[in-house]
Amino acid sequence: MATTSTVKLRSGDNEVFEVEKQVMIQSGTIRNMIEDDAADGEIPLQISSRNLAKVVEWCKCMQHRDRNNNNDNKEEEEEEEEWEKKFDEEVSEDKDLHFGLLLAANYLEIPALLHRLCQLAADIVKGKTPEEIRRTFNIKKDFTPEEEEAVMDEHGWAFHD
Amino acid sequence: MPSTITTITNSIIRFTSSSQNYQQSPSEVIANLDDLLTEILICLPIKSLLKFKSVSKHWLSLISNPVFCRRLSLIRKPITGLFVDRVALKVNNPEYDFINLDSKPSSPPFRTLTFVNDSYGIQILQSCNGLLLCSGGHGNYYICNPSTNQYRLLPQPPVGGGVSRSILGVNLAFDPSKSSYYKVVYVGACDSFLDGQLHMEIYSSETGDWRLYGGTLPAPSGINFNTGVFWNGAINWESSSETSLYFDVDKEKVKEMPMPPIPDGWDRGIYQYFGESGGHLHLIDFYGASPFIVYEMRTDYSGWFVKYHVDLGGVTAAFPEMIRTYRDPQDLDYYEYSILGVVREENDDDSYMLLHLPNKVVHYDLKDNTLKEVLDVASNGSQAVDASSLQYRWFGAFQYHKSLASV
Repeated sequence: MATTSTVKLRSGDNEVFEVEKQVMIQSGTIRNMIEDDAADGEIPLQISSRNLAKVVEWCKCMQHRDRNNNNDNKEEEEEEEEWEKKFDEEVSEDKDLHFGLLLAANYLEIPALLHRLCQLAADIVKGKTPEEIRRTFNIKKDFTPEEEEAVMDEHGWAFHD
Repeated sequence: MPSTITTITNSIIRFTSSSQNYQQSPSEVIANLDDLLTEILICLPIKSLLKFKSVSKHWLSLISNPVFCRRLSLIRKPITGLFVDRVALKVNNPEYDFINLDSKPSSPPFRTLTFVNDSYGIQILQSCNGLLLCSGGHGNYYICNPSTNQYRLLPQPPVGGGVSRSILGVNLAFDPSKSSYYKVVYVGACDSFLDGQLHMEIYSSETGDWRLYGGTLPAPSGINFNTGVFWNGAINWESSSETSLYFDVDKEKVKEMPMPPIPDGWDRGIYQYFGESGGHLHLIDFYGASPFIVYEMRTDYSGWFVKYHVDLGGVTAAFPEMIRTYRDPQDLDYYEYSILGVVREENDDDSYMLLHLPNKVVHYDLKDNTLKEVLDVASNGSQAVDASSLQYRWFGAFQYHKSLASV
C-alpha cells in the first residue's frame, strides 16, 4: 500500500513536482508505478519542466472537472471550458510545446490528453501541402520524381480545392 | 551513460541517446514513432490522407496499411452526402446532383462518372460503405471509390451453360470493419427459371473471380433483386409479398426474411423506401400519402418493428405547393414528395429523413418534426423539365461516405 498521498516527479532539467496521486493516476505509467509501490521516491522523467508543468496542470484540471461532474455549477463549468480553450490555443501556437506534450502524453500514457493533442495536430496539418508537412516534421522526400508523380496521379483531384 | 536511461521508454531513449550526440527535435521523434503518428493521421480527413501519401515512402506505407484503413472505417463518421440520379432527364449518360449533408459546404465530387470512356455512360447501381457499384455498356460492371477516384472493371459474370442474360439484380456487399475485400452478387434468370429457380454468381475481390452459388435460389414472386441493400452482413431484398429473401454473404446462404403485414384491402405490400443507415435497415410503407410508417428490421430477422410514425401535416402546411389539389386526398399521390433517405445519427435524437418536394430537398427531423431546406433544386442548375415534377427517387439516391477503401 502507498504511504503518502503524493508523488514526486523529477523533470529532465531536475525540477521536482509534488502532485497528488489522485491527479496523476490519469497517467497509466504513473498509475502502474503507484500500484507496484514503485512511486515512493522521486520518479525521473525525461520531460522538460515546462512540458511537465503543463501536463500536471492539465491533469489537475481534468480531475477537478471529473470530481465536479455531478455538480451543476455553471460558473465553474464555464471556467473549465475557458481553461481548455486557452490550453488549445496555447498549444496550437507553439509547435515545440505541442510536440513536446504529445511525446509526454504518449510516454505517460494519458489517453485523453493524447487524443486531444492528436486532434489539434490533425487540425493544424490537414490543410498543409506535402512539402509543408515535410518541413513541419523534418522529413526527407525519398520518392524519385517518377514515384512522386505516380502517387500524385493516383489521387490527382485531392490536390485541388 | 546508457545505464541511467534504462528505465525510460523507447521513445525517450530515441529522444536522448543518439550516438552522434545529435538531439532530434520533438517533431522528428514524432515523425519516427509510428504509433503516435498513426494517432494523428487517424484524426485527419480522407482528402488530407490522400494528399499526404506523397509526403514520403514512410507516410505512404502508414496510410496504405490495411490495418490503418480498417481502424479508420471503424470510426463512425457522419454521411457526407447523397448522389442523386436525375431520373426524369435521360436514360444514357446519367447525371448526378449532389446533396451535401456535411456541416461544411462541399463541392460535388462529380456530375457524371467518367473514369472510363463508355458511350452509354456510367450508372450508379448501389452505394455500400464508401464504394459504388456501377454499370456501363456491354454488360460491364465497375466498383469505384469516389473519395480516391479509383475504379476497377469486374470480369464479366459467366453466362452460358443454360444461363440466359436476363439480369434480375447485381448487388455489392462490403464491410470495411470486417474485411478489406468485397463481394458482388449477381442474380439472373436461367433455363430452369420455369422450375422456380434463379441463378446466382458471386464475385470476390479477394480471388478476382466469379463463382457459382452452390445452393438453390427460389424465385418467389414480388422480390425486387434490383434494389438490394447491404446490412447485417447480408444482401437484403424487399418484396411486395409477405416473405422476402436475404443472402448471408459470409455463410453464402440464402434465407427468408419476413415483410411487414399487408393491411386488409390490399393485395400486396407497397413501399416507398428501402435503405440502410448507421447499421439500421429501414422500410417505409405507402398505403396513403400520409401518415406512413418507418419500419426497422431486427438484427435476428425475426421481424420489422415500427421505428417512426410520420405525419406530413406540418410539411404540407409549410409547403402547400406539394398538395395536388386536383387529386382526392385518399389518393396515394395526393402529396407530391419522395423520400430520399432515412439518416440515423449516432445520437438517435438527431436522426432525420430527406424529403424531396417540388424543386427542393428538405431535412425532416424525425424527433421533433421540424424542417430545414438543404437543397434548392432550381438554384442547383437542374430544373426539372416540368417544374412541378420530382427529379429524384429513393432508388436513384446513393449515399456518399468518404473512404480509403481500395477497389
